[in-house]
Amino acid sequence: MVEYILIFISAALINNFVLSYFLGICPFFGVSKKTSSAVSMGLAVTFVMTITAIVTNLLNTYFLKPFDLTYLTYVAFILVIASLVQVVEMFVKKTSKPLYNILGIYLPLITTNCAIFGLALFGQLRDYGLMQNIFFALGAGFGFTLALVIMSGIREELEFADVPKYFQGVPIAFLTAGSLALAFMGFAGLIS
Amino acid sequence: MQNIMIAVLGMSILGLFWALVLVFANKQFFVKEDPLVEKVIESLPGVNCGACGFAGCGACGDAIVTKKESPTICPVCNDQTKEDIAEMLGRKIVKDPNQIKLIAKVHCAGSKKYLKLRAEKYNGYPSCAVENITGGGTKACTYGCLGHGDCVKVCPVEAIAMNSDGLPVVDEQKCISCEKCVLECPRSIIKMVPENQEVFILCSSKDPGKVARQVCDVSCIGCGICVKNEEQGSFQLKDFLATVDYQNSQKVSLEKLREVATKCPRKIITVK
Repeated sequence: MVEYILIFISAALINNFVLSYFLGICPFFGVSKKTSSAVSMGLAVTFVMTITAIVTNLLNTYFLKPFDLTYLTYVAFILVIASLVQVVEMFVKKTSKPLYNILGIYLPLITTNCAIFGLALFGQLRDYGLMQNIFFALGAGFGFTLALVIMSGIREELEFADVPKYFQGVPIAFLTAGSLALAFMGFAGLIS
Repeated sequence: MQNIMIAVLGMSILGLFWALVLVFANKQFFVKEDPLVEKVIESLPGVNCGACGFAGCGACGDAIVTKKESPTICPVCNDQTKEDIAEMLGRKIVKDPNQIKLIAKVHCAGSKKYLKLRAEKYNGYPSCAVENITGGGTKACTYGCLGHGDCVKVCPVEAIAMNSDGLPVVDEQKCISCEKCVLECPRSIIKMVPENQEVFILCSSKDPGKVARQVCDVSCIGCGICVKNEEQGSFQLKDFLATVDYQNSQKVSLEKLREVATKCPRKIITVK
């Protein structure tokens, strides 16, 4: 059990996908203007990450490895992630409209996002088992949500700040993200 | 050979399997949607930048149709596209009536007719920015227009042209208030003024009266007569330069402004 918790914390804080691997920067800046949409985006990413972790792990263990096809990892992963997320999106749309409004609209955006794909590749690279991979995905998703919510909180406050003209908008957001990444570097010594 | 066969076969099966799943899901979970939403989404840029505040162009298009958001929330697509979308939905883009369009105006009337030169000829690269840093230029007035047309080059809609006296003139109809010329001018003599503005002091010289009088025939000498003659605050004097307060001058009648203009010893207050 301790091992799983360690994987979770490591993925969420120490090796945060956004702030230390710089994966998924696009939604990090795109959807961090309002806290409400940031939370939805974070949940959607966590959801897709968990599904991805399960599917890619199964695909890796029962298809790519036995047939010695690991050089097809990229194509196979992309194919499976993209189509599975599409199916899930259709399913959610049909069965639950409120859930679709919270999650669904973000799903097509993140099917081929680098954070999702990075997770799939990291899982394969580190030879995680199924449960390990799931916890890794949950941790990564939690870390992504955390980064997005913090960022959106700061950006909502920044609306009222007296920002110099040439730093308004994206430049100040990048500067903020840099400071935030520096702050997260403080977690590096958490687990030794 | 066998490796290739396995790879091709494996990927084909994988692809086919997911294709079938998608076909099945599409039939099973099909939801009818407003065709208008799809049309609007198609008109949007489709770059999914999220700058509108929504998750992407899909969510934005949906919000425009169902939540009555204005198409103007998209910062990427141009005005024509926005109007097309509004027309599709039978709406109109309402422009704020209180917002007066700003146009660029060159605040210098010192063409070669009126202005003295301190050097006969400028042989350098024909650009205002270059001439400005080479000893302050050929014109004796260090605030005046240099006349190489840097503003003409930078204007994206070709609204600025040089007149026969070698001064840039802005076409009010064509100006799109982008302020590129304002930033480009090395002497900062282009300023944004309200479109319906009717009175101007076209001078930027902050030289003291004596110097200003010597270098140019149409310069403001900072005497302050216009300020004294108009009580509403249409004119203001700062650093030996009288300027028009574009808000206060709107409240004053044209007759009054014309009367003040006649009292100007330099005759540089122009009233349309």
